[in-house]
Amino acid sequence: MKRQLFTASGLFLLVLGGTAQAQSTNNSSTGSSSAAPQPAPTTTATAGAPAPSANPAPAPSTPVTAPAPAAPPATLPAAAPAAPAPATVPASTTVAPAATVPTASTDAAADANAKAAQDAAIADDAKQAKAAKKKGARGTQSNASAISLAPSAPQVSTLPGSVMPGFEQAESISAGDWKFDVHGLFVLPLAIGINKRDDPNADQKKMTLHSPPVTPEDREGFNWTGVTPQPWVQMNFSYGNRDVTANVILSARTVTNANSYFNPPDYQGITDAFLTYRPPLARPINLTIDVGAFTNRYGHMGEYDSGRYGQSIIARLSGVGTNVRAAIPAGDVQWLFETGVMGQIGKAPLGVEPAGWNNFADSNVGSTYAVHGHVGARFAKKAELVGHAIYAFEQDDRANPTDQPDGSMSILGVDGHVSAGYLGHFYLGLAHTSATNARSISPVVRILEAPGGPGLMRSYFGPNGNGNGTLTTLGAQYDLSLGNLLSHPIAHNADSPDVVLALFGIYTKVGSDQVGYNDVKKLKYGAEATYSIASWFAASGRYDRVLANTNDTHQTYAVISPRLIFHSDWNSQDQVVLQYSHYMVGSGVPVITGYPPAPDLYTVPDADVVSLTAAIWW
Amino acid sequence: MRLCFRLSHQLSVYGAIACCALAASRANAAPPPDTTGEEFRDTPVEALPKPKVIAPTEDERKEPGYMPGYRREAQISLPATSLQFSTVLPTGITPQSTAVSPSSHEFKMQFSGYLQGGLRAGIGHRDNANSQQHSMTLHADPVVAGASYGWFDHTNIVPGPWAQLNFKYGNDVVSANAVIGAWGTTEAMNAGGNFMPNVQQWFTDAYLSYTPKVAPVNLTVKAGVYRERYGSMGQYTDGVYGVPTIAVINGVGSTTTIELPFEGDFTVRAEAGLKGTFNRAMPGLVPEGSNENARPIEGSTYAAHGHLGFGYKDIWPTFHIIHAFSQDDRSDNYDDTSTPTYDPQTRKDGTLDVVGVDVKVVGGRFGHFVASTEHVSGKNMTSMSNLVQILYSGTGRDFNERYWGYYSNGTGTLSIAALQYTLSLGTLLRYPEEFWGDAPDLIVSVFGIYAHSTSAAARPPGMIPALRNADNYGLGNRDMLKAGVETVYSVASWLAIGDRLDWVAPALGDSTKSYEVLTQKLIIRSDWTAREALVLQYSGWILGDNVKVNGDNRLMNYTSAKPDQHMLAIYGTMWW
Repeated sequence: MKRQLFTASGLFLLVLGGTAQAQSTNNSSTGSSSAAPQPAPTTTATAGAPAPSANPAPAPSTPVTAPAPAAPPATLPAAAPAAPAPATVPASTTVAPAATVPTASTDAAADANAKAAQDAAIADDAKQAKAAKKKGARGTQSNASAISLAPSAPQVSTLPGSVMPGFEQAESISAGDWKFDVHGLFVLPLAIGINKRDDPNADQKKMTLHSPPVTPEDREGFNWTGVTPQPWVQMNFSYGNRDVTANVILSARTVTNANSYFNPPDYQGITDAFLTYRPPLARPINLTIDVGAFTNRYGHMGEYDSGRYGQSIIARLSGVGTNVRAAIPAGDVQWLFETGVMGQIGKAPLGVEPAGWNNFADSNVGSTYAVHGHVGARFAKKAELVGHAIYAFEQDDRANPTDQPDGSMSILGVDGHVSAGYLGHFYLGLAHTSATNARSISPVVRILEAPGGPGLMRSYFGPNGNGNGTLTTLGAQYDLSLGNLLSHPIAHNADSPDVVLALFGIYTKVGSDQVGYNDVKKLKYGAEATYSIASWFAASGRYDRVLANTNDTHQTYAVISPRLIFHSDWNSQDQVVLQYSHYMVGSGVPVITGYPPAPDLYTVPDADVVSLTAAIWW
Repeated sequence: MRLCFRLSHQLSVYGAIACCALAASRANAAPPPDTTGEEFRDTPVEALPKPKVIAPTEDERKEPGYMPGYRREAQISLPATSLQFSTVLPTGITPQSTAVSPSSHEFKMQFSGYLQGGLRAGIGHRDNANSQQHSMTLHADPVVAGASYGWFDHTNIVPGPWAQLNFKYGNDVVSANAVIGAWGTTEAMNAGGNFMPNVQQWFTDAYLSYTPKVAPVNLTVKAGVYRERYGSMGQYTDGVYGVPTIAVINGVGSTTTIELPFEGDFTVRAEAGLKGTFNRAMPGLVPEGSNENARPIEGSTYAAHGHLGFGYKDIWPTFHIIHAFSQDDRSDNYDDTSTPTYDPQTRKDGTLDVVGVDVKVVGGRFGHFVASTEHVSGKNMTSMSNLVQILYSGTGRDFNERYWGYYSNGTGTLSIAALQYTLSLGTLLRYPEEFWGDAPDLIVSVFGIYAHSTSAAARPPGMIPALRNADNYGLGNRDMLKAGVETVYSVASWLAIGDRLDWVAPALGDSTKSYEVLTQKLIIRSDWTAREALVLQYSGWILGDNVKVNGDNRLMNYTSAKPDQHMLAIYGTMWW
């Protein structure tokens, strides 16, 4: 394996050097171990489940030799006439046993048939997932082995028009089938907030324009709808075979040429770098092990993404560590197990001055670790019920140098998805978070995207305590394709007019040891409708209402957002969205502004926001 | 559209009829020929035997990429994926890293890039070196005149590091494009002991490009973040000075380009777009190196721009109009209740207007010619961001510091005229034989930029500013000129020799601020048309008494009145 990895890195470099063939294949079905270069059909992005969880569906009895279905192939052609020679795989990259499906016979042909059948099953399931994903139709979920949202899934909320961008992953069928894959997502909004001056002078216009808009939206707090688009660029690179994959994710919350100033934290760089092992000997148990730096999101409200709000109902764990997940088939039921430990690489040193370049680092936050376990079951590939337990803690004397207590946070939750075919997709999740002296808990754990204990204090528990409190959260989302529903039992293709509806909401009850923050109930809900009129055009509208305190109407705001969506085809993976949002904001709703950003009740938010957003994913 | 074609056709018919009528009337009015003394007359030219003309072969390449002379993309600005930095390679050795995609519905991933980096040493001297000091000084960031990025006197002689990776995924209708760039490398920074976060530009561009099939009209729609460069002096790059002469428009937004082909090799190309920014420096931010000296006074800025070009064969005059503005009250001063005035009213909304025209002639064997002129008018630009750049100066602070003076509040005008002409003698002299650079060649370029700035504000009489760049308080009405000539002789497949002479006058009429630069380059490469080069360079400066080195807050951090007079550099470049 070590030798193969070295080969992989060499091939990776060759690919980046402009090789004509980015993929080398040593096809196990041929039994060849020749050192000759394999004229592989370049890097083909085969259809698959949302990465990186390949579906280990049991092989059907009928052997099928068809390969995985073709998706838009991502080839790496020779970018220059002087491109280096095609990459080759040395003889050492020999064929691994095709021990993917245990059979009574050891006959090679039988093995091959079984393997082909399993591939076909994977392909079939992947095809369904792909069709559903592209269309935005509900009812198919093939993310079979993962409870958390895949680390490589886009870290943004659902795109306008109920479009849930998902990344495919090149499926490898053998140990010798090394593949290089590139996927990405760009969300690039020109968003303009419109406001007015009370008393302009002769050289000032009465109307003011703000980019980014001044709105009550707070990505790390409850006051967040995600309706005003935020810039996001993500590119996923992976290289691997059937058994192991190296994954690197590059991302940024900005793009330099659209900056007014240089803000280092927006340049996220390599956000994830991890290995994924899929031990072949464990099959039919589908065992997957992630090791490295990555993100796990539990309680994702969307079928393939983090939902309309982009906030995980249970928790988001991000850092460095390992995660082991297993899917055990037992008839129509598939048992799901997942466990892991997560920590962090660095810590803000004592004495560091909080500043913009270090994202206002907090040296009083200690090295934090999170252990977590999840048990669930999937019924007939249609319904999934999972229980979650997460415990995060820190015991860092640098964060608590004198008599401050160590911090901890425990999360218990349960959630479920129902992929009901033509009846759509339904999600329901419930989580209870209990924080004790969480002031020193780092953002390794995020509840509703609030970073660690300080984030919970700022948004929920109050700023003056030590991070003690509870959070009980209930979230739900329902997505329905009317075209799919009304044409049942005839399959509704994605390449025709459709109306997609969505309802979604989150309720949170806060318990805190601070007066004014205890027993606060928060609620946000919304609805979205999208009418795909033509292959290039859809009309959409969304309504959101956020009650930061159900007992105080001054802390409520609502947004109504009509949109026009343009795209290159029914099933295209691109869109340009022209959106108008009108904010109706109560007098008690703060705006996060200033430097460092802080809630401000005196800044008048923009009532109107116009945005032109380009998005593409592949 | 159909109407336009029909009109064009009718005009040509009417034109032909008119010509026939004119010829007929002349024939009717002509007197009988006079044959007296005919034996003493020269043979009429039309009667001489005509030289044999070799008809040029049809020269259409289906997928030429960015081979010079075959640009087919409908775009007035330089593509965002083209080199986003001033290449230090001589004219004629043009990096072309972004070939046009083959026409196909098949989705493909393309990867291209450019690397440039090397060692530089500015050589100066100490006047009073002690016993443990050498009189010769060495500077890794050469303290030389004209090295400052964004200033008028920037000559692009000092090679700066740049790495750019372009990723493109798509087909012939839609594509996703991302560009990752850096104008420094971490190892080099670590070696210098000075880590600059902004060196790593990361994703500089990310955008969608649509090219719907609406033949014969050529339509392109871009949306996202991309840099648009208008008035580029090179055919595929920013030119010798590495600066577009009309404007650079950064930001996020959308641009639509439409190209209408007419009969008779006549083409109309129109382009329009709207741009803004993602963020702005919030009040409370302290300007420093880590945020690239951000200025909270600069508000959210937007730019609307339009361009109209008329092409006849290979001659392209294009008109440009750009309007940028800021109406951001968050840049207003906070009201100080201890003063009687309402402080937010002291700030003014800023505007920037650009009107310009450029003419490009892709003259085939006669070379490539670009000339441009423009008029820039700024009003209260101190409150504007870097969205639109003129000669790579964008913010009001840039204009104040470099052209109009600090007392101007970003109000003034700037008129610019520029030209560049590049000729390959190898191509010219081999005509009509095709020549693609794979044999000895001599490429000659002449180039220059003239600018005139006016500003109403001047330094108050008697005031002697003591701050850095003190002269810039008194800038205002000024004429500037820089010009040069460059030759590149490709001696062998592996060797070329470059020579360049520059003359720079940041203030015409004050010769003490002028200087000349003589540069020699040895260019070693793997083949005639290789995509890489190893360059050994020497440059020498002849300086006026008051020549100053300006800081640009990037690689040229040092402002000095005592520039180095020599520079050695060895660097490598590669593009693919």
